[in-house]
Amino acid sequence: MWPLFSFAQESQPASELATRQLLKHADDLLKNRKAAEAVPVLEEVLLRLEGLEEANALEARASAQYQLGLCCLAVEQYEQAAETFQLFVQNFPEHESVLDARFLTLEAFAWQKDPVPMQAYIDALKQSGEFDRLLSVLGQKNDATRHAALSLVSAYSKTADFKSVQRFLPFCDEDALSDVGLNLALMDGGDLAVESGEYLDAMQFYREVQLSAELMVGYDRRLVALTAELEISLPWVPLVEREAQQEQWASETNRYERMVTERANLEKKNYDQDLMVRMANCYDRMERRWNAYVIYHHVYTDFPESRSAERSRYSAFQCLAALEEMTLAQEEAKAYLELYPVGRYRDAVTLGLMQIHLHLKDFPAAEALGLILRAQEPEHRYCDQVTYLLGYLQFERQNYEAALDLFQKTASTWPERIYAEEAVYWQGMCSLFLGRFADAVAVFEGYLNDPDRNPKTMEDDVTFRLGMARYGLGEYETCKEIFKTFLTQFPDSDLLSEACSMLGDLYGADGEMNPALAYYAQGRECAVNAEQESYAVFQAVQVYDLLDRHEDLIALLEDYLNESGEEGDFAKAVLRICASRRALEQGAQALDACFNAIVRFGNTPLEQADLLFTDLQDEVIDPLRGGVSADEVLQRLGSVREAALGDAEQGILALRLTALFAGISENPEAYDAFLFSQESLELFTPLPLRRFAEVAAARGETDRAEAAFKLFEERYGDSEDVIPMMNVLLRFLLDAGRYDEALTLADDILMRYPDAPAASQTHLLDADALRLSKRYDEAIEKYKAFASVRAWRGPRTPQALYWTGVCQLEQGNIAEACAWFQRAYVLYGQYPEWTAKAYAASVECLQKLGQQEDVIRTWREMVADPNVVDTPEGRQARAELSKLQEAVQ
Amino acid sequence: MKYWIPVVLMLAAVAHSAEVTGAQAELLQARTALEAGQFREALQHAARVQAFYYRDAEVLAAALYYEAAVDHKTGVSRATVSALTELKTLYPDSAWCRKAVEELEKTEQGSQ
Repeated sequence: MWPLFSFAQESQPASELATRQLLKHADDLLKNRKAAEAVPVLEEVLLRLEGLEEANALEARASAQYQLGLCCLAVEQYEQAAETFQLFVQNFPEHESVLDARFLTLEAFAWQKDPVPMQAYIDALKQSGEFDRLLSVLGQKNDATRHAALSLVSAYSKTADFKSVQRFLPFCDEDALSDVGLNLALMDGGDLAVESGEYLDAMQFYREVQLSAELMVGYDRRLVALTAELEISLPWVPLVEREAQQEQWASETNRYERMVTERANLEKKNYDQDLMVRMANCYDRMERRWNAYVIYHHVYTDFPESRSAERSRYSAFQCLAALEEMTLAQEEAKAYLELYPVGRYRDAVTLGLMQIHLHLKDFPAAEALGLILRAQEPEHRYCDQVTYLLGYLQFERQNYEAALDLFQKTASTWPERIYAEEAVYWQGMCSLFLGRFADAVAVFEGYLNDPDRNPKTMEDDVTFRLGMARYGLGEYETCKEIFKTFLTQFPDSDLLSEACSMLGDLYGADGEMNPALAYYAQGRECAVNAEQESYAVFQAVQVYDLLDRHEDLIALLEDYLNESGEEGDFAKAVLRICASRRALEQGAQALDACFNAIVRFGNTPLEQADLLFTDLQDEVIDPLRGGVSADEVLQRLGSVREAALGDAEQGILALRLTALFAGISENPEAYDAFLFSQESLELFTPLPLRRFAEVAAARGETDRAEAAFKLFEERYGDSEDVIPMMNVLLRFLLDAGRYDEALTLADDILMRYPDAPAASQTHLLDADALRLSKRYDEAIEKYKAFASVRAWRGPRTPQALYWTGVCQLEQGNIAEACAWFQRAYVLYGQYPEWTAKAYAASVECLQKLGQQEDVIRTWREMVADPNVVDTPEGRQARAELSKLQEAVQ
Repeated sequence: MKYWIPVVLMLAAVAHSAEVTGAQAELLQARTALEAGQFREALQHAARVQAFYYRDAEVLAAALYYEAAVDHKTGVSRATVSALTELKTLYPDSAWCRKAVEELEKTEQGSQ
């Protein structure tokens, strides 16, 4: 340490003192640690000694300059301190304290908020090679270097310079490392690094921070040492130094008391959770959500009373939502809302949960949340987003009027917020869907012509919808112009293909088929997804069909199949090709196309592949189609099934073919047994699953039947193909006498799919359920309604007529019943199963009515009908006639 | 008063067998899950090691490796700073980093 000056204390101003007195005064001030007062005195000393070259004078000047630097540091005049130490090094380059001065310069710079001069100084030191020597100074363990290392690490932390922290951290001993200030500075360093996107630096800062358990160990050690120091009696010092000694002792005592308080505070409250949350935030910023989540989860689980707990639970929810862990995220959000009903993030959590419900298509839950929040907290940070989402929900529910109001409110109340622009777009969409095309045009044009809306991020969407609105107004020429402009204005838009297809539709509607086909071709060319491509292709197919250009149609679809494969609507394409082949009277090629498609696509798990099989099954079963016999199918595809059965990779194809064969074969038992022998339903697609359920229901294997129904609902519950399976379930419920359940299910299906062709059977089963419940009048109404739909006329129509007759018969209306049975066999003679039943039932009615002649006439008709004569009812009629003849003879 | 003692946080200073076991158990579960194709579980175990045992460079590097391996297998990492980047930046000389470069990066290059 520098020797202190020894001058008498004077009250005169420094400039009026003789140099000797001045030096003595400065010495006294330094001894008594009066740094602020010492600064002007030392400056005066330096002024007086400037230019003197004697050894003593030089030594005194060096001493004064160094002390001035220390005083400036003490009074936090860091800029002047740095300047003074630099001057010292410059003026006395050979002085033994040059290294110390360089280090102190660094410390003075480090404490300045501006990192630039410090970095410049370090760079200069590195260039001159002095930096390594500086580090060697820090290696000497003493109070000065300990303090210096601590100061440097703290200072570098505050500028988020982790490389420099890493350089100086090893010079911090255990006491320094357990300094709360240092650890807080390290956390600050981490925060700064996060803000500047240096996440790995930030994690390193955070990982260096000591936790409270570690800090307390350090505190205990330092307190023991300090206690020992304070217990030693103060040594004798001259009177002049007594005050300084007392001050030193008081200072140490204060330090002790402060440390005791800090130690106690650490027990009560520490920054551990803050640190963990910071690390989690950093992982969150890095988008490594699981890392963030486990920390947040730990904080709120193990420290539920912590001030970070609420924030952590909210952040955990956000992480889970970002991870698309929707179930966990929902649980997290619900827990938050229960725990913090008036929490700081209540609005944000509610909004997030709404978005999750929307994502999961649980619209009622999303709406309920939004409405509760709106009712309980009319003004919150996310009013605009919640209002917008409520509008979107109304739109999804096709409540366009309500949606329009909410979108209008979003756009007008919060015009600067995130959803304002989209709200305008959806206003136009609502008007479009409400058929208010002029309003839609006004909204869309208002958006496009608004000079203040810049940039217009939805310009292409809005232009496209404007075209649709003009179409709605019947302004087809304007519409064409808009879409043509669209093609040139937004060549990179995702809607380009749809615009082309719209132009195709417009030209097609005008009968201009060649331009229509050209636009569809262009639409296919620029499609960005399978849906757009399929639309353009199948619209073109429609045009070719209208023009009877079946060869072109087939060529287009074969190309589509080659290009799109399983990505496209392959089943629809194949069935369309088959139809065109038949139109060209190329039945054999149609079958080839169908069989080849079954081989090509039959093993894909995609649901649409089942259409190929069900269509073929219908072709065989339906006598009105009659394009192919069961034997031909069994023969052509038998070897394919055998091969599939022998190949574990072809399991789906094997199951589909087995179900098909079971459906068309006269002896389906072996095929059904194979299906039923499968332990796992994993590879079952709709057709085999339906067949499996039918077999299970027929065998009374209720558990297996219900497992199949459940699996079907899970996998294919949203598809229209669910109806045939639900019909199987309905039949199962009817056979089990569970009529009320059957009625409920039938109502549900008919409400969900009122116009689906497959729902025709549901209508019939619904009527059956009423009949079996003895609600005959209602049943009759249902059967009549079924029979009146022209599109449903076919094999099930005689059933409806027959069961209507049965209902009448059950009510004692024998003549009416007889009329219905007669209607069934007269009008639907091509369906022998029901014709025979109807004949037999009419005989029963005629017998009850005592019309014996009509009975005999009916028996004769039955025997004469080749479709009926070999049925059980036909055989019975023949026997009755024989008996009659024998009686006559 | 309850203190949270991150299980192996003090590993650098004092190796504690129970704590080492905790970290190793997590790593073992991460590895088992990875091999079983249970990527979500693997990520959770790797995350717990990084969150609670970060003072041990060896286990931290291992956890980063498993996270990077999941990223590689699923190809869905959207991280702005991935585990592989962290491993290569902070532990370039570790055996785990060499393994990652060997197995993950080279496979990636090979498949390109």
